[in-house]
Amino acid sequence: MAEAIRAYPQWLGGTRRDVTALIRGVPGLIAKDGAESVYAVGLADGRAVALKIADGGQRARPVVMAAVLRRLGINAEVLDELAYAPVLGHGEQVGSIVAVGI
Amino acid sequence: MTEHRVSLYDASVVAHVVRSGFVESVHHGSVVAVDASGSTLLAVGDVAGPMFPRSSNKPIQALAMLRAGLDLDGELLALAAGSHSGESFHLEGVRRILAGAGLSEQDLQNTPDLPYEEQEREAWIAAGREATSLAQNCSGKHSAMLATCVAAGWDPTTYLEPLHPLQQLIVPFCHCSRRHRRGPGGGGDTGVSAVAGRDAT
Repeated sequence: MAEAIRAYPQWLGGTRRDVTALIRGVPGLIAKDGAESVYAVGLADGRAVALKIADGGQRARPVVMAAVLRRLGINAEVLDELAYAPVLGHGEQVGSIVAVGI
Repeated sequence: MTEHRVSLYDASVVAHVVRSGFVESVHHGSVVAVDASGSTLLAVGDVAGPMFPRSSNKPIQALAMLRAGLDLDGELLALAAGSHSGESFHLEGVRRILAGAGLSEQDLQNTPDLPYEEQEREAWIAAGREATSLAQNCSGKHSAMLATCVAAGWDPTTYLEPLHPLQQLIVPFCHCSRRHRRGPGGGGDTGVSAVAGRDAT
């Protein structure tokens, strides 16, 4: 199961999905997202992360997961991409969604 | 129905939505990280309370299907464990899983929907297409459940019934593999009971 997810992450999510980008971007990682903003991640060394955003909205989910993985010592470019969630005003970036307390 | 008060009341603030330097909104959440032995490395919020794993459970469900005789690997196994965007290669993959079991998209019983991913959904609507079971994000899993029924000799027309052997296989498997005690069950849109586990760590 894990081998299939690592080899074909675009089949578990899709071309433009954050879960697919995360699997591609961290060697050995497997992940699965879900409705109401749940997220499960397994790392190559056996460590695992489970996340639930309480209001069920998806927008903070990849941002918080990126922060957790950094906290666990994972260094990967994809974490910068997933942590980048701009807040727009008149089409211009005027802020961002940021993880706190992780 | 009894309302199970979930752990979310004690969830911590895990994200700020900042506009022009001002915290405009906050998101609460629960986070747990464990090592390979299950010992907690990091916990934010109440991580001992029950929650529905929703589609994050799909790889575990797919594992149960493999144990029951499902013969998939590679891209189609990833699709079976996925919540796909509804791209053309996903839909073609679902058709391949079904064809391999001698079935077709008419046999799917997941709730018809538009593609999950925004661009795919907009293109689907622009093309004048309607919601279908094939396009819905769970169709990889449902096609794999049907293929599992065929492989195991179970009735594929009643695979969503709680007492169907497929469902009887998957639910305890999820509890066992996660070392979770039984929590409340609930119907999810994914077409199998959504199991709430209580984290044992």
